[in-house]
Amino acid sequence: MRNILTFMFACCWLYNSSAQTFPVEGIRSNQPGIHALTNLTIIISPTKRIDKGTILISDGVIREVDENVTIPVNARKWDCTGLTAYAGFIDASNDYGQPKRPQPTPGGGSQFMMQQSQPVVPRGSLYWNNGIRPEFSASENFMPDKDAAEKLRALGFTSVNSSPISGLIKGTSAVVNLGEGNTHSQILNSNVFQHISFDREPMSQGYPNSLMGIISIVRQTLLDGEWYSKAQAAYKKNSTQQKQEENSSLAALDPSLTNKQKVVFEANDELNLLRAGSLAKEFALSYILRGNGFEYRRIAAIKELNVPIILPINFPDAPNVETPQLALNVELDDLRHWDFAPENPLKLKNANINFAFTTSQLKDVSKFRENVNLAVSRGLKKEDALASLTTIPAELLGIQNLVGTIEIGKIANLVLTNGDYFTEKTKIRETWIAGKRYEVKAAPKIDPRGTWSVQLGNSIDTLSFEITGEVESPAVTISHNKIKVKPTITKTDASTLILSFSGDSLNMKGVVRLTVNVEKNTFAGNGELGDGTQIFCTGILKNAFVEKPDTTKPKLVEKSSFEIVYPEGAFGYSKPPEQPEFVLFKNATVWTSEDAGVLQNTDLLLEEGKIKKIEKNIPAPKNAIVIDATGKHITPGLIDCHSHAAISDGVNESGQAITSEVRIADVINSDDMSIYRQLAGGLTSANLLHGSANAIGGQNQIIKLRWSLLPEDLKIKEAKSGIKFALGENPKQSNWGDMNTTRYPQTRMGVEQIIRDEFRAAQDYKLAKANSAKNPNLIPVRTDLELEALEEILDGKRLVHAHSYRQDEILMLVRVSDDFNFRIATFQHVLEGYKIAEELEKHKIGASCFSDWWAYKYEVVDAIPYAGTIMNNVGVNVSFNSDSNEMARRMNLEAAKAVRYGGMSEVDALNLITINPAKQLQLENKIGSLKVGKDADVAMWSASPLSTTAICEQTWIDGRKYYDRKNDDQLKIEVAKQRTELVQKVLRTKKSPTSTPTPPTLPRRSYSYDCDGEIGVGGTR
Amino acid sequence: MKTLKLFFTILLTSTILFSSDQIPGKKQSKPIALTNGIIHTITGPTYSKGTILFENGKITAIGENVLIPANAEKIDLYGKHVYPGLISATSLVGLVELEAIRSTRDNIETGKFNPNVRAEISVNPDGDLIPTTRANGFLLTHTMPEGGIVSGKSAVLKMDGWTHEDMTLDAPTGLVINWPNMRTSQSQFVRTTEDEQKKEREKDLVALRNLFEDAKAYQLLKKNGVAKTDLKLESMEPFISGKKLLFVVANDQLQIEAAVQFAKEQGVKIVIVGGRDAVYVTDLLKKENVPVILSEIYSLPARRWEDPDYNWELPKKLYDSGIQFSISVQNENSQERNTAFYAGFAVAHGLPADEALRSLTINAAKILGIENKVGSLEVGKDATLFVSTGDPLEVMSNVTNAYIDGRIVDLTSKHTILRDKYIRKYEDLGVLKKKLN
Repeated sequence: MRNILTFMFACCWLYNSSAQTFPVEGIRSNQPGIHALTNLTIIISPTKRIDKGTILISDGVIREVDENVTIPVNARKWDCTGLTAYAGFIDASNDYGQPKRPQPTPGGGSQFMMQQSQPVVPRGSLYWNNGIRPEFSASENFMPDKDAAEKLRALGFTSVNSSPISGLIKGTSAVVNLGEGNTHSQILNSNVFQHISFDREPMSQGYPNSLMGIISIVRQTLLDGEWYSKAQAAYKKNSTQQKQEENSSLAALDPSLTNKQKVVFEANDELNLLRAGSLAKEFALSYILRGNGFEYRRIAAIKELNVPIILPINFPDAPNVETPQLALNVELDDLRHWDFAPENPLKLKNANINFAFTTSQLKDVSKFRENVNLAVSRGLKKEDALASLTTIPAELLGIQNLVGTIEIGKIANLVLTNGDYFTEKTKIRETWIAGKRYEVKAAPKIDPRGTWSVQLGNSIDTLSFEITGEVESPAVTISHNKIKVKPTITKTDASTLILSFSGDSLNMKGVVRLTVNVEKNTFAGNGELGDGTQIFCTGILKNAFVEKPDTTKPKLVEKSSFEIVYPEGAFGYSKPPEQPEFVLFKNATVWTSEDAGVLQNTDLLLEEGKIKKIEKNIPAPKNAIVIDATGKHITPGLIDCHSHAAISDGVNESGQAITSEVRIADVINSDDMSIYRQLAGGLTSANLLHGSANAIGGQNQIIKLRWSLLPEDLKIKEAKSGIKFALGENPKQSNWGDMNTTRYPQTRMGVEQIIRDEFRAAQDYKLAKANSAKNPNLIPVRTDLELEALEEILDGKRLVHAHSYRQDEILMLVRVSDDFNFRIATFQHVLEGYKIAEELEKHKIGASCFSDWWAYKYEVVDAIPYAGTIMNNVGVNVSFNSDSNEMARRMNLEAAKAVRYGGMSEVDALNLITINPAKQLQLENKIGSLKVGKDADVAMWSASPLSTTAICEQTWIDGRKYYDRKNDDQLKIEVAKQRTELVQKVLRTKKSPTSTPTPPTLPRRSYSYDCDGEIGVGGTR
Repeated sequence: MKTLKLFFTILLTSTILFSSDQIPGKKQSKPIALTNGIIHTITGPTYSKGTILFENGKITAIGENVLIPANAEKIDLYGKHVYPGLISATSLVGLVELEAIRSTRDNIETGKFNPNVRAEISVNPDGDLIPTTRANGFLLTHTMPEGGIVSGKSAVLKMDGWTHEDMTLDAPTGLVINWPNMRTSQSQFVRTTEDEQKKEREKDLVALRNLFEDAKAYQLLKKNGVAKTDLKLESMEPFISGKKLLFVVANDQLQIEAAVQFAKEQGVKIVIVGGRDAVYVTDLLKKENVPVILSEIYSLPARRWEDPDYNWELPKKLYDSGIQFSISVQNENSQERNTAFYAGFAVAHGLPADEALRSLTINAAKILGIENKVGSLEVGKDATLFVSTGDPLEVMSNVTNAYIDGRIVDLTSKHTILRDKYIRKYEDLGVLKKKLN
């Protein structure tokens, strides 16, 4: 009774409302809108089902779902025997229906040489940078795409959160149905999420052109958004002041900043997910992550973010390992990713991370279902997979009352299959979207299979047709006596067979063609013999086809072969090194880098990460790890005062002449193989600097090489923050080619002025802030991250590290620092520092230089290898740095060059890479020497560390052994073993060994930079 | 004893005084005997208290009991070491002065096939890198043109002389070929598609074969006196006949394999330059008797999965496989003076120390085909040698004297001149807290 009432009510509603504003052109079309789908297996929700029931739909809405439903007389009935209904699938974010992004030119160009900051043409009231477009509305720009919709429906999707494609802050998404027809009626919900991406924008104006630049501009924009609301309010209260600018982009950010709208952060690897998490936390945003398939690599850290993930299911193709030569270039982490990727969803599930599957990031969308099934075969429960396609995305999108389950009152979005969706053989027959039926692949009306007795033309002989195979792709064998012929078949539809065969052996000349219409037990058709004779044919079913039980063995599912290591891939550790309570090195030659100099036959005791004692004959405490260091040399862990290792996606934000707002801290790359390679050379700390493309560059980050830990855990928290300046040829773009000759500055004169201008601006800014704080009625001063950094320099809170070559420019900056009263911590490279050593000494500025680099550009013509010794002997604190991921592996030999050139003592030479850089970084109380109470960062060498024959055998950081040559030997064996095993697994698993898949595109994990930018990529990527 | 020391000091000082602008050494006019030194002959015994005598630019005697002619200049080495001049086997010294400045680059001729150009022709004897290179014991360089597929003809140079003709020890030493990349790249820095790269490679390989085949045809025509002049084909004569070597720059396994195969087909002798992946093809290299100039040992491993020490261990692995090799620095002319330290680091990674030295001396000479003149201290060979305070493979050692063809080599350089200039500044200012040694 209740059912009938509901139904009647619905009918009234149907006739009483007009759902669209569009005027009708021509004759109105009102197809019947009441459907009864009967005899269905109904999967109501991932956990609830009806084995046989009916779904009643009217006006696009589900009215009834039950085993027994009274079907109204005016309903169109659909017998769905054999079919299973699922709630239509929902993709929580893909680019369906959005305008395509213009394609960049193939190959692109070098970020450093090509991408220049172009003058900005303001467009209306939009943000100055075209990567920032929060005002973009996917809803306003939505246009149904027939082909794409068909492809998605074929996978079972009925709704999509159509998301903006371009930009960094990209705009808002809109949930749409995948139906055809009126655009407006497909849109279920507008302004769903704000989308933010860390992917480099191919159409950008030049800035930002690095990951850290992207994060910076997003951060600045969010700050601007916060400021904009306050500024508007302040102006409303008091309009007797200069109005703030009108900016509709910033206005559009308000819902996100006030937690009224969630933000989706789109991240292309596991580290970017964590970066998104920190940024979201900084602004207390309510957010969701668009993942990437690499989550398994850092699952514990991602779990801590405690947010749902929109999960691409973009499993990589098997790497090409057909020849040993090809396999040589396949990385172990690519092989391992191929092996792990299908288990990524399971691992997320096991970690209790909520996720919704998306088709985005898939190169070939049609592979989606195959991949979902692969994930299921690798352990993901079917109901969890189904939830990720229905209820979870519905909830994420806040439309769980509209879609996601087959329940009364919900939109009639359904997928009808001929069986279990998560089984390979199952076919999707149709989808229903808002009560409209879309056929995917119709079931054949008739099963033609069986043995037929056939009469062909006037022939007296009876032929036999054996029809076997799949219903939808049958095979036919024609036999007469003992002669068998297999015709070629083109099947037009469910009940028509078109065949052609050579009739010679059957006494029919030439090629015979037949078109046969199959009915239940008979068929009839016509055709033509080779000589042009028209013939008829008739058939009678003698034996119907009997389905043989499926005896094929289930495909052997191979689970991933190895355990996850950190970072993933070669030389990763299964867990971080432990910190023993006590570690005792016995009987070593100890280079203290303190006044004590080099101590023979001495013991060194570490306790809980600190240096406890340096004496002869220290008795071993209980439970101490004792290392016999007889014949070995122990030095402080080495420090590289100029490194570009462990930085993700761009060391140079070269898009502007001043980029003090960008932060290396945002883009630490804990996966960089350089960390491990440099540990193997006794290095324990590194000053990660921004590049030198800008007079005032980005903020640096000092790290310890804690291989296996997360980016955050690499940072030396106590380290004073600094910033990179750059003088000379690089900031004035001398070697950037003929395309780059107009950006200010182009001379050393201009470099000075732009630096002075920036400091003056920072002073003005500071004053304005103070003034604004006193006057709450004024529009507040906009937080400018660029000037904030400068203000910190002026306040003595930020150290300046200035890339420099010639003495004139060095002296220039010294004078600027005099005038603005800030201290320069180091000049970096400082090749002509030896010409004005007395100034450096007087100002207590450190010189962090190369040992002997020269003759690669004009400003190094006067560089000499004696520079370090000369400056040292004038009293300047000198360090030797690498500026190279390669050289950072052998800093000890660089130090030895000071002995060669100028005869520095060996003790002083070692200090160039230990205590001296520690002092330059103002960390001398923590690292850089072996002194009781300091961090237990030590390297153990096979010989005197300044000898070319010396090899670093162990490297300890915080009393934890991060590198051990013996362990390294084991890892090498492990790498070889795993490569062999996985290559074999690929060869076993690959379907067709002749195909040549393109190498998978994976995020690059190692970069190699020097000051000028990218000089090559570690590994083959 | 004391007078001898004084004499030695005067001699050294006078060298500095009279050659501060690095004037090439005068032709040896009287015999010179270096005595009381540790003489590393490389091919023969090492004499721990030995004498080496040279006259008219050639070594005339070595041993512990050498009869020193009365007119000889005698220099007591006080236990210092004597070595044959080191060879930088892949050099740009003299061809490139400052990499970033186009006008100072003479290493790459335009076009892909330049078998006719000669490296020694554009060597600037007054380049600033020559004195700094030889000051570290590198008295000989194998200077190679770069670029394209066939870069040009290489030459062995002595690191002293008034003209490039004075400096040339051997030319042409070989033909430099850059083997085309046998893989495709998807790097953003490559501006062509993978298909385009493949096509380009195929085209280059056909053109390379054609160059050799056309050259053979050209020689036949010439014999019959009917060839119109073609400088490129003409210059191929010593290379197609196998009289001279091909130096093939090849790092990737596929490149090395293809290059060796090519040489076999053409019946010519090649040297692999670069050789980064040589350890993966040792059987082939051994079988075909192909030597390798390892110029990538101070590079990072090419692949993430490779052992962090991969490059350092290349020399040891080739040594263990019985493949002849030399160690060099390529594409970085200012770093060539550090080559011996890289060889030293290979020792730390398992290469026997004497093999490291051989790789910079006699083995390099053999690979370059100049072993009858240089590469070891033997009677009759050029008196091209140096004196060191210690093992040249150690960074902390220093070169104190050097001779090329018996001529005294000025060991000062732009670097020492600037050093002395600014030490003077700080002495005058009174701020130099410690003297330099």
